[in-house]
Amino acid sequence: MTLALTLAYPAFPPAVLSPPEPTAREREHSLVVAAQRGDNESFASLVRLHQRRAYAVARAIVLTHEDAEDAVQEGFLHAFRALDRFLPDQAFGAWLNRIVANAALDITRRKKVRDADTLADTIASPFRDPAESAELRRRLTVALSSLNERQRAVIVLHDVEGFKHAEIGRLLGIPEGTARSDLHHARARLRQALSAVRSQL
Amino acid sequence: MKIERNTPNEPGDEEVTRVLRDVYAPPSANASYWETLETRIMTRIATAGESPEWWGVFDGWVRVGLAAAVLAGVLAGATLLRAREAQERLAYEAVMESASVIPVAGPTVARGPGRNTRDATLRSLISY
Repeated sequence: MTLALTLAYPAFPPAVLSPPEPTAREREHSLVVAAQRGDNESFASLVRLHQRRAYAVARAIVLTHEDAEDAVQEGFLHAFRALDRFLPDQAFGAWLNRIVANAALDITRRKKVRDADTLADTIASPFRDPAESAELRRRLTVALSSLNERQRAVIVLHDVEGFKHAEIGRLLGIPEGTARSDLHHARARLRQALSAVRSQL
Repeated sequence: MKIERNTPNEPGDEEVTRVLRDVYAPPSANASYWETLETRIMTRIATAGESPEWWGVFDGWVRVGLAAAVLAGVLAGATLLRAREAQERLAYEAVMESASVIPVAGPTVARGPGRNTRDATLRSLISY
């Protein structure tokens, strides 16, 4: 009998019997719940977890690094105010990124720059690699400026940030097919711009 | 109709992606940058909490305002109803009064003998 019990229920070492470490999702869930109860420290932890991705989403949509920072701050502020309406079982990151994308789109609408030269100057990031061909970047930024804001956002979100078409559609509030089509046109335009530079160099 | 199921990579796409990633490179190399941004975000939230939007002043008055609006609506309805009833009553009375003084058109009806007897009795009493 003892042998049978031992075989059926082998004695686990205490370390195995202890509760497992919470997953990242569970940690995030507990942070969200605590933040909803008014714990600002938990919300700060959520900011720490998600600010890089939020910045990337905003940067794909707006024209400048400064506008991206503003969009991130606005996005987090909106999220903080709407936290009571968020269901903790959902993915906080996806919800936050949609809010940040909306904040970035608002900024873009407010500060619509029509001048392509101005756009080419402002779109260049201050964090670029100086070893890269300046001409290549200049042409690319000019070509980027010829895209509409949605196409630009789609190609950056896809190629730089690695979002899938469906995710981009949800972020920007457009059908997946439109995101796919925008990516196709944007790539063709940028490819053309870069190949022109290559032929000249 | 051609349905594009995927976005195939064409020659040159890798270069486009590479230059795009360079142009849109996040400031991730600098760790203190993210700490600063986090501090700015939390400060922004704290500041926004201290100085709420101008319409936020009215948040506490929403329920009172709604109750007052409902009460005002009920009072206005009741007043309107009473005014209407009074108006109808006045109109009815006016019609009835005007109907009692309408001159009778047509031949005057001769007084009957009862009336003459009553008049004669009254005259004799007065003269007595």
